[in-house]
Amino acid sequence: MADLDALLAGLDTLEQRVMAGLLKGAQAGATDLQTTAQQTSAYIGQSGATRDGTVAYVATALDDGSDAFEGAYQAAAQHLAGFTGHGGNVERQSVGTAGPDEIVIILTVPTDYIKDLETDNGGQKAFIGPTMDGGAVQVTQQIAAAVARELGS
Amino acid sequence: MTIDPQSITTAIFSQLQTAGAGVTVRAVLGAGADSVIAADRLALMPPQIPALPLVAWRGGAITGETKEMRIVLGAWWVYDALIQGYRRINGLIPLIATAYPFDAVPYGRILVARIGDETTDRALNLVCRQVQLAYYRRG
Repeated sequence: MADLDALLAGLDTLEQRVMAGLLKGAQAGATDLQTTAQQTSAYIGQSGATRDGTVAYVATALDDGSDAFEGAYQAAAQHLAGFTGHGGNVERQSVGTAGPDEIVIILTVPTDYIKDLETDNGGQKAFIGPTMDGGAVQVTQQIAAAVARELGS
Repeated sequence: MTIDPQSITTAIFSQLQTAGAGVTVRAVLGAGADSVIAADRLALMPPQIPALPLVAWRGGAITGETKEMRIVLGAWWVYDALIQGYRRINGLIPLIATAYPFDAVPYGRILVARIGDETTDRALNLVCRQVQLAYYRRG
């Protein structure tokens, strides 16, 4: 029994380390995605709300990332307060809840016109989708590397 | 065929505009091959919009490292009039997918990677949907 207990304990530790690596890798990936998205030249911008409101963060069952989203919301709101160049506003968004074994990376802008930027004129000014598409392979590699480091391999 | 981003884009574009594989797509489009356009034409002032429905191509990212699998991304934006809703757009999607057998572009594999939401382009006041293609090859 002692051997079985040790085996089960080892498997628990393995799972914890894998999950820790996944989380670290996803967080690093989210940071890079946000940087890339904020540096886009796909649009020029008027108020500054889109660029400063662009946020990428990790959501799990234990932490939905609402602090990061709120920070982006406040940043966008500051830019749009009193801005009359267009009629756009900040907007709170919600996505599905991450399950207990899920780690989700969210890249968004908390405005009611980000969807138009991603769509209008065949995605002429889109940058959220293209950033995710362009970064998916790199983020996957970051996550795999982080898990490997966590496992000491 | 030289393999570079432009030759891949040309091959993907031609598949709907001129190739036999795209004939069923062109039959549904408002002006046949003339309704197959580059997406940047949608943003010209005044807009140069051919008869609807139309498909507009926008190239996307090329990912992957040189010695690993390259993924060339791009999307057909399928547009129609608001009054038509998504009926003709949704009917076009399987035709577009059929026009791209996995070996449609030389030296790699191509597939429909994602179909976007039904949405409205508020700049053009048209309904649209995105059909993303992914072309995979080594090197």
